[in-house]
Amino acid sequence: MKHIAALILACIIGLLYRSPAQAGDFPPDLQRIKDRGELLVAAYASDIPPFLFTDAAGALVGIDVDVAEKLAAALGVRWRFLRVAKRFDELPQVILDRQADVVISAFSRSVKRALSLRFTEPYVRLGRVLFVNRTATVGLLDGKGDYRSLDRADVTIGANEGGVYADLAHELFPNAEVRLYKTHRDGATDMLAGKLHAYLCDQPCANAYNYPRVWHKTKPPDDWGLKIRTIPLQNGFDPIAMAVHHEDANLHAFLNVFLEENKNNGALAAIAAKYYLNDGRP
Amino acid sequence: MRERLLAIWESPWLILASVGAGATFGKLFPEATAALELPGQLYIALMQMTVLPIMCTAIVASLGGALAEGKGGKLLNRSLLVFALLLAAAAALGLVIGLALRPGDGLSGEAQRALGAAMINADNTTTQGGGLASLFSSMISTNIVHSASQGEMLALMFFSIIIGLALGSLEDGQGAAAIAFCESLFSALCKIIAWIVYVLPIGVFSLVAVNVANLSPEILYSVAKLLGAFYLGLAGLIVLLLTACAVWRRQSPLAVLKAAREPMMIGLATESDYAPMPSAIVAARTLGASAQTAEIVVPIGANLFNLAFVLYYVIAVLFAAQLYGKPMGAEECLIIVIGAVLITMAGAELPMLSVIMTPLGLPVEALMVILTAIGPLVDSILVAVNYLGNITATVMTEGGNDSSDDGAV
Repeated sequence: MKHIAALILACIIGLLYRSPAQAGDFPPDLQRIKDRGELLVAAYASDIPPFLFTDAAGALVGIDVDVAEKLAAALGVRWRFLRVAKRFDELPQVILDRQADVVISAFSRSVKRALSLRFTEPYVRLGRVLFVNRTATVGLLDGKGDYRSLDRADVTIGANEGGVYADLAHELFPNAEVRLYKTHRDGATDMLAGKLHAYLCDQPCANAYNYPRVWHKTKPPDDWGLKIRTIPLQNGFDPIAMAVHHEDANLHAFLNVFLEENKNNGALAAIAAKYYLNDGRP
Repeated sequence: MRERLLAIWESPWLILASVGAGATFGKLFPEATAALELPGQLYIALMQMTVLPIMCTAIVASLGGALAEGKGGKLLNRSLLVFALLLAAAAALGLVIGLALRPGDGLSGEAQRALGAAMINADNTTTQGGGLASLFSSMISTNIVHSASQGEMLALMFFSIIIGLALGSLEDGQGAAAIAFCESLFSALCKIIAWIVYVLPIGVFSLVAVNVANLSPEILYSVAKLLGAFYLGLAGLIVLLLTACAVWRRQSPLAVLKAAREPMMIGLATESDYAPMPSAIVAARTLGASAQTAEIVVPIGANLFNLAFVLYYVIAVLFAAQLYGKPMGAEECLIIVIGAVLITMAGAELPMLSVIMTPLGLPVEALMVILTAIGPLVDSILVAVNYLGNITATVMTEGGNDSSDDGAV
């Protein structure tokens, strides 16, 4: 009888005891990742150099890959990108459906998106630019290239649909017609054909057309520089941040600490410089 | 022996040899040209030092004297008519060259990429200059001493004309002493110029070497056809001017060229719009213009009527129109011609091209990048041809071979 009681007591103690490596030392949202042994990163489906693209050898590289690699190492797990979103505004649902843990995909932090996700501090800030058709805007732009002179009913401005630039186009040019495009390439094609006066996008997009590098698979047409002028917008930057489920408060806090540390030790700046992020000139 | 050496030193062939040597040196030893920048700049500064007082004294003395003799108004009217005819001829030649050669058509992909890259790099760093209103606002100075210190030639020219007219219209010879003082000062300044011209070969070598060393060849290959059109147009303008002057004065074109060679060489070497002025006054007198005519018309021409720039801008705008596939009809050509004449009179600064380009729906930044890049290969020739045009206009203002007032120098 005594032996049976001792056995039962040992089982109870065994069930209650937790080794340091088991659940209970980490909050549930972090533990989920640790248990899986893998960080799942939600990302845009197409290449978005220099953030996420495949190099000549077929390997996935870019700013977001470098950041995810460091993050996974800090968590002590592997990393995998889920490139499932065909539009940027599909990324929040991937997180809300718990298909992935975090968005790291040149994802712009915005008020609208913050309604459903928790955003970290930005890990890079992108300049915003306006591509302008030189001949279509003769006489519209003043000598200093003030883009605000394009806010007219007879002007058409393009932007990428499903991204923050669609909202920005309406905000900066309330009187102009705004036309949305699935890809930057479609918008650039219409720009060159003279169907658009201007197209709103970010600095990396401008670099891809003005200073294409080896990782930009599609080179701009020969007459790009002759026909298209790039005007940097002075009204702020596009904050690129990570985003997690609104319930993952601990993961969110961890990410911010991770970013702060890598900002202070220069690692984030080195990653941005490696891919010529905000100065594409050779 | 001394005279022989002096003849060789003053020979135009030595000047040409200096140009060639400077270009070769600049091409082969670009880093070494840094040492030549100071001598070159000092030489230009020496020239520029005399230009302003020469222009003012020449205009005051001659216009005042002409008005006192009752000839000032007729001289000005006649010079304006001659300049108008020559400007129209230069513009017409530019139209013919630009429309016949079509330098902007068929640029290769590589050429388009090179031009496009240059325009991207220049974007947001170029600014537009004043329009035609700046011509009138810069002509009248609120502080002539300040204008003199800033080298505002247009304002000083206008002031000199006004003072000359006023002195010449004073009664009872009250202006005679001031006019005589200006004449003496002008003669002294011409003497200084003659001393400075003695070291022209050295100045030419330094300036050309530095300019050639600073050329950017990438864009030049892209616009080789445009450069060819410019050179052909300028050659045509030279032939036109030499022929006009020769026929007017019943001399050979070579005699005209010989008389005009020194101011043209100074313009070629210095690229200065004003440094050749004193020499051009002498050249015009050599070809039969009176001292009064030469000393009034040459400075006015140097400020307002640069023929070569009209030809240059007409061809350049046609190039841009062809590059962007814009058809140019009769109305557009008229806009180009009138615009080119007006901006040349307003100072011929590149940003003023918007006066022509904007009505035609063409981006001005295209031409600003291209013309800035090819400037070292064209600007000096433009100045030289401008002065040939200036001298021709001065001689034609004087009248035919039988109508000169005081004959050749």
